[in-house]
Amino acid sequence: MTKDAVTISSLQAELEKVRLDNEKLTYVFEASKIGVWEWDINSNSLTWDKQMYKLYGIKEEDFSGAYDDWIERVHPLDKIKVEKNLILSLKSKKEFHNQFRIIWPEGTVKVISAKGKVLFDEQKIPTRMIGLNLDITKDRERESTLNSLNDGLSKSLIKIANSEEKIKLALASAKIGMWDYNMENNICSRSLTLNLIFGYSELTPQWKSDFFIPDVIPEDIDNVKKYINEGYLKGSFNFTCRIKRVDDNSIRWITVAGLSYTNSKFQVYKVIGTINDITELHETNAIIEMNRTLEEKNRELNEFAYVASHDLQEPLNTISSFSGLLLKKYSDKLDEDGKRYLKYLKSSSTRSRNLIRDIIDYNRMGYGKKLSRIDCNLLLKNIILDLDSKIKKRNAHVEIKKLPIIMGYETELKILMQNLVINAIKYHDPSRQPKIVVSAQEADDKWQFEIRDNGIGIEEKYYDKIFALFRRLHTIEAYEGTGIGLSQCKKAAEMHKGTVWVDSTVGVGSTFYFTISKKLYE
Amino acid sequence: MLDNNKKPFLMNVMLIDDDIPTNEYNKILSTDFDLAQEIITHTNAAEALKELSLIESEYDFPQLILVDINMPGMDGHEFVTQVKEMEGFHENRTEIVSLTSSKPMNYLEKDNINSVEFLYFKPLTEDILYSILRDCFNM
Repeated sequence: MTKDAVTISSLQAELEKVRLDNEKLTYVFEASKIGVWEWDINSNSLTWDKQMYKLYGIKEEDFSGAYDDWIERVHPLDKIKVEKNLILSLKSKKEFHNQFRIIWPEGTVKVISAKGKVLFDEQKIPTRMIGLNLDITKDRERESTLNSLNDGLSKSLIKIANSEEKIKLALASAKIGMWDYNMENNICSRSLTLNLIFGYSELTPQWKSDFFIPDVIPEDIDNVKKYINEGYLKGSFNFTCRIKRVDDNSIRWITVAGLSYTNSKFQVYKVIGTINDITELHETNAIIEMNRTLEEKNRELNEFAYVASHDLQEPLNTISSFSGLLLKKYSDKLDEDGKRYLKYLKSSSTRSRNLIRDIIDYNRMGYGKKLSRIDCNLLLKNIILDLDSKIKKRNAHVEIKKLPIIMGYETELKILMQNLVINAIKYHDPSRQPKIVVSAQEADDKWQFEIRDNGIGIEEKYYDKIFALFRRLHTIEAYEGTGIGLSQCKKAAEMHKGTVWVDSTVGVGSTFYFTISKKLYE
Repeated sequence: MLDNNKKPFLMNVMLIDDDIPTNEYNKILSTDFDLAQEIITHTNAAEALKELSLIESEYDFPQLILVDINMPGMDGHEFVTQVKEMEGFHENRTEIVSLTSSKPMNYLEKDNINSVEFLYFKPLTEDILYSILRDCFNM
């Protein structure tokens, strides 16, 4: 045991005696209105004697014994100072000595003089603090000739302080730091939240007339000085700047708002303010802004693609139409080669045209989409009408089971169903009559649609690949097409928070499924 | 049904497209299709409008007007709006059909196409002519 430890343990023993059963001392304390307290640092709890409750104007059952329950009773304007001094004595191992105001529950302000001694364990780590509280309100009152004035003032101050306290609580939970600077005594106090924002350890550095300006990054310093100086003249300021945190050197964005008070000589004597770390918000805003730019660029690109392909279509239409006309009307004047060349011309221009049309459609999908109520029975009826000539040409039999009324994007849903029906007709097996069945099933949170055919079928290894853009399984000669149709289906299903997939047996037929979520919102 | 009809389907039709080959092709197609007894073409919407304004009897007003939307000067939208304000125009007698190469980007914003009741995509084909007869004339 070290010498210090011996001393302390004997002191501990002494105090133990005092606290347990020393009637005389208790009597003295009572008569002198001295309260005895003990702070267990590990559990952060306080043990008070009876006099302490009287000093704080409360009953024993009104005090939880928690450290916070005590510090909340200290006058808001003294709180930082008291906690600062407590921490100082814990660090310096020196005696705690402080005077501060407390507020009784009904609002009376009392001035307390407090002393305390730190007790350590064997590793010299502070474990407890014991001490005294004495009400010196009366002494203080006598000290000043302005007391009578002060009393009225302090009562209204309490009201202000109480609401100020609530504001402070709100600010602390919103991670907003507060500070005030008194020019008369050059003291600047700040809330603990500011230490977190600036990365300060405990109480250093002290802020003076330039507040946090030393922590502002060089690029912003001139502006900050300008804003604050202008603020002094105007009476308020509000600006955003960047600071460099002391602990990890990270750059943070803060907003600073403040008010300055002027005396009768129009001199600023006090400045109060708040500081809010908005780095996350700032970063989010930057991302939102970038996203907006990206969307804008994307839209421009889409429009460019649209205009370019629109203008490409016109001449292609003419080539396609007139080569068709030549074939139809002048076939007898052309030899076989001439006819074949014309056919190439016609089929190529038609293919280019279709490709452009499909690219435009694919690009435009979802553009200006509007959620609406769709009767799928009606939708499919119209699709069948549009495909009338194709259906008749193949002598296809299309059966539509009862379909639901759903919320969806009509244009895209039509493309989705239409493409699947077109495919079912297109990839028919020439050896039998094409039969197509469209049906739907309800699940908890979605609708599942099914388009079943008895066509040529698809090998399993292509089940996923067929949905990729421009992916085709057959030559143009075998089956015409641009390779965009099923990509459109995929895009349309995804717009409805659903998926599209296929199940098939080669030589028997394919069944395409897609789902539409019931939970679509604008 | 339609195919066995020997007579032209309609009395008179007006075709408007600023592109000369397209306009000519549309006329050939309509003629071969036997769309109407009289087929008038214009490559300029303002001229077409002027001709329409000179028609005295409402029965001489075209039963069907096919108009391209995207034209320099007076475009299809403006043309349709003006035709509908003419004295000779009767909704029961005349159908106006718009043609376009591709849907405008803001196709779904109805305000932009509120003057267009029937919209078909170019190039004009026999299938489209059948659709027009079905949709507009219940044939």
